[in-house]
Amino acid sequence: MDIVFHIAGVFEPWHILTLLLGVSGGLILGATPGISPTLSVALLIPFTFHMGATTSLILLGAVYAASIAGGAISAILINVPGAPANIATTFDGYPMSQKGQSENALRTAFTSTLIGGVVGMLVLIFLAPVFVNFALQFGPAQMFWVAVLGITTMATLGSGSLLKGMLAGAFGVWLSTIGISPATGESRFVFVDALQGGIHVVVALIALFAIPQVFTLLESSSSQYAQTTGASEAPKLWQVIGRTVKERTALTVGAISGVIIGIIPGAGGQVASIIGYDQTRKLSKNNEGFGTGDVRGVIGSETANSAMVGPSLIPLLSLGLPGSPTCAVLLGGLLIHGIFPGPQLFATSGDIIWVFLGALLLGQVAIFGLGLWLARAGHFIARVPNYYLAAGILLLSVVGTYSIQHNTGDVLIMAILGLLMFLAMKVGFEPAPVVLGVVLGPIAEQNFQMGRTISTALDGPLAYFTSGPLTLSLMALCAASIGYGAISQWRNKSVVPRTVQEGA
Amino acid sequence: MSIERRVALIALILSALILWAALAPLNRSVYLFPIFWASFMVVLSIVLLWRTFPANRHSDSERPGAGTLPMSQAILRLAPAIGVFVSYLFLMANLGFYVSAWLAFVALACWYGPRPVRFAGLLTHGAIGAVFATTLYLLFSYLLAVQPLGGWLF
Repeated sequence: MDIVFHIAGVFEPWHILTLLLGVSGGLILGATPGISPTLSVALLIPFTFHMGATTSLILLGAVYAASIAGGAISAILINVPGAPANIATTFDGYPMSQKGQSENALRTAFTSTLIGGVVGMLVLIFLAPVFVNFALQFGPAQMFWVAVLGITTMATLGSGSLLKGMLAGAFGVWLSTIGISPATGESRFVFVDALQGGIHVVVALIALFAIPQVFTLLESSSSQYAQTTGASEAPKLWQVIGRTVKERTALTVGAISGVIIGIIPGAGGQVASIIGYDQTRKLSKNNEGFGTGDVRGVIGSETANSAMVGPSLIPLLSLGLPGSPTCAVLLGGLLIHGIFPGPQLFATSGDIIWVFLGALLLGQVAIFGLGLWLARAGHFIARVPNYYLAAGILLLSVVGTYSIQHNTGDVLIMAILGLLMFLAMKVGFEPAPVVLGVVLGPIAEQNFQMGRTISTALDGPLAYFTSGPLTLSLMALCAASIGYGAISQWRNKSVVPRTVQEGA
Repeated sequence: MSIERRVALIALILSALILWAALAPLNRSVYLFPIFWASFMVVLSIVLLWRTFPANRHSDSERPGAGTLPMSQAILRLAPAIGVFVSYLFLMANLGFYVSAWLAFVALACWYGPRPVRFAGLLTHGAIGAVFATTLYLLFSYLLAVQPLGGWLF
């Protein structure tokens, strides 16, 4: 009964207003090529710094879910997925648009998003408490290994190169150790005064995601907009809904793919979308039309990527293990509001988390309604030139960074770190493992220090951190994630690596 | 020397410096955790360097680097943007956030937008920049009650 009472908190006017604001903003940002869901959430975090925890989480969650849905607009209209999770939507969405069926494709996409999103959120609401109860068995040794697992998973699955991914993750952990030591309170690696308080997690998030994107946008030409052919008469909304609901294979396959992929850390929306599309194509009858504008392709892809959003939060909320770069940024958002994911989450922050989950569920309806309405302006949104986007992101990054601690030192750190990240990205490093290192580093260190203290009364640190079935299972998972990364790269051996040779 | 080997060497030097900075202080217990990760970085950098030699090339599927241009061309193309960024950070202390933000917006739009810049284009960039800076002003000063660096006008 308490749960229902807490969830009902979402209907407070301020929460509804925040939700609508987040959904609208998320849809617009998602529909804008060049602004990923991760970047959208990262840019938003400084704004939430001055808000209450519940309002902040509603805003961040709404932007996360809506930006993935909004990505379908540009995927369908201009063949450029707004988010990686919308890649498979281009396979049939854009051909539909070329045939003058853009309105039909957009309505189908948002109907599928509604169905997939509701399924995903219900899975989240019912499974998250179960996973949290499981996490009660975790002590410092296990939490240390969970943090290491998060870093290795992102380093191996989310990166092109295993070595570079792991190096980036380790560098991120080192960045998190700059400043005050949690063990003794002494300063470490404070080479300049600006580093005295360490690198704030939000400064790192903006530097690592936003600044490289500014330079990437400025590097390429104006925009990828190309007008599609004229629109034919679109079917009515209720006809589209009726047609979508009848496509049970595409809906079921998409939803199941999304839920399973969402729960697996490291897989993310891109994998969900492609697997959802591929399985829908394979399991559908008369599938010759896939790739040429088959509406079932749009349903499979969009149902999968929206069903992924809710379950992707399960490992985050129950273990503090972010399964994707966006979840890593969300973890940063939770931590700055004093919400610590893990076994005690619902006991200590239940009143906030249940409202958050309820808002995400209600948000699916808002995404459907506002998405259909905003899709009419899709051509305009997708046409924003890169130089305006880059300039806008740059200004938001600077003011957002400054507003956290009113410190120009933070802005300088953000600028230097962002520039270094862009150069590193040029040679094949990725920001996600670094961010995971920065976010999970303090969790790993705190549990490492607690474990060391506890182990002095037991068999010593080595035995403490390497014994027990749960610890060994987590260590095995770390090894498996590295092994999986190595094997997948070995299997890609035939693909000639594109190595940029300069001055050779 | 190939760019991959240069990258590996830079990574090794950086990792070694971090490890040295962690090992140099006397109070080791404060640095135990960073020492572990810095050592890990050194090992990974050595493997990365080792793999750049032709005999050791196995399979390390590379994802293409960010953006569309190779490093040297990208730096040339982005040099003005970096210049605008640095000027913006320095101007912020004197002109205040909003005026310097507007100038940075217009400068970036003029440099990377359609060329040659005509008067009408300049006006458009200026107007869009002004709308953006005003929106930020209203958002931060009134809604979030955050006061960015002040200066002329604001």
